[in-house]
Amino acid sequence: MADGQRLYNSVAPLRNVAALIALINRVKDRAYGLPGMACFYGFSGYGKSTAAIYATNRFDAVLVQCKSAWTKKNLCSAILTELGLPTKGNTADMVDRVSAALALRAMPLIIDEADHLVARRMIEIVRDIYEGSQVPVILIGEELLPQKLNEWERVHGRMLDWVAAQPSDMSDLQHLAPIYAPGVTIDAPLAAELLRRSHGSTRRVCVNLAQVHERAMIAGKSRMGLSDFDAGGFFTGVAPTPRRTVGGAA
Amino acid sequence: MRSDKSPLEHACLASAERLGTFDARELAAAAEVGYETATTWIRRWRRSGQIEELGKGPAGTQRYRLIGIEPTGVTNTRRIAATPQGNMWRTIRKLRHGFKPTDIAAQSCTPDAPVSQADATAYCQMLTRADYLRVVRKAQPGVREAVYRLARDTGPKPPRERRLRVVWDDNEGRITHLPGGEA
Repeated sequence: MADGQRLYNSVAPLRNVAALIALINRVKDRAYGLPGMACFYGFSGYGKSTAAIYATNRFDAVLVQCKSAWTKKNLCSAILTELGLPTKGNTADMVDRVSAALALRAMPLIIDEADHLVARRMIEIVRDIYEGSQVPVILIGEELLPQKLNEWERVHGRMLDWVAAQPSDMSDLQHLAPIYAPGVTIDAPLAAELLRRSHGSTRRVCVNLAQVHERAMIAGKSRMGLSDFDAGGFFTGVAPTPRRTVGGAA
Repeated sequence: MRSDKSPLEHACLASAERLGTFDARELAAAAEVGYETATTWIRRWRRSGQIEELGKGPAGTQRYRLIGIEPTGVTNTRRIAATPQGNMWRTIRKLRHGFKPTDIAAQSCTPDAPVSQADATAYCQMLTRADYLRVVRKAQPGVREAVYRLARDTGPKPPRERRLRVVWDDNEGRITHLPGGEA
């Protein structure tokens, strides 16, 4: 199933993906006695979830994406489902089964949107799972997650490392361009404008690169510059300004 | 008999554990191996005393049980080797918004299980045919890819295409026997 270009078409070289991979490797290879939990945090859109999916594939990990309405039982059920195990029993039983299965398979546990665990005061259950399994547990959340975790001394004390996600830069764009705009050369000024308008968001860089690619295909061009693309059409994620009049009135 | 277990025997043994009681056809289907392979392992396990015969089941086939191992009722605890389909299915399940095959290839391609753009496109098309995905935006050949969304999440194991020998009745215009399932 492989071809020569395959590995270059992966998100692996992106800064945040590489940072998360390195973090998980660090936790996996930690010295005896060191804690096995870690936190990967940053602003929305920086590609944390993308990094989490890639890391899950890379390490054959278990990834759960928390929801705001989840209870402790929902969290345990979600992990058991990912492990392919039946979701029966009470929460305590489930925690034991999750811990045993993770320990037996030596699978890292990655929890995305971990802010919800703190908000719903469920974070202790993650510590229970870590204590029971001793596998790497990575919490992924928004910029303020480390501060929120400060409140939970027993969790905070088990963190091996805290890694901040970084905004997309030109090197990320250069890795993503062959994936999302294959066969199209993007001139440096257009690339810089694309990056500026994406406000460091990996998600927006991907969307905007795909837009440039689509425009190039429609125009039959293999090279795109600032003059070929209306930079106002970039997806910026900025909310529209309020209208002064409504309903076409002058 | 070899003292070390081959990956094939591991797969068969794990499936036998999971099934509890089984016949050769069920074991072959569960372990995803050929019927001949399943019967070979059953013969060897019988010879080494690892399984016992339970007599003929309702289907008229000989049924077996592993000796000294209780059925776990859960999937085996060994890690399954990374596969391109496994990675792609995991990525599809985790991408909550719509996605293109490019997204799937980029996030699923690991050194252990490389995934190309063509692999991702073919897998998405296969899942769409089987109603796991729905097309949110149709592809425009040469301009843009289709956008898909997950419609049916049946669990962590990746759906995949398999070739089956079935009985087809031309009189009724339908499959009358499907191994391991209902016609």
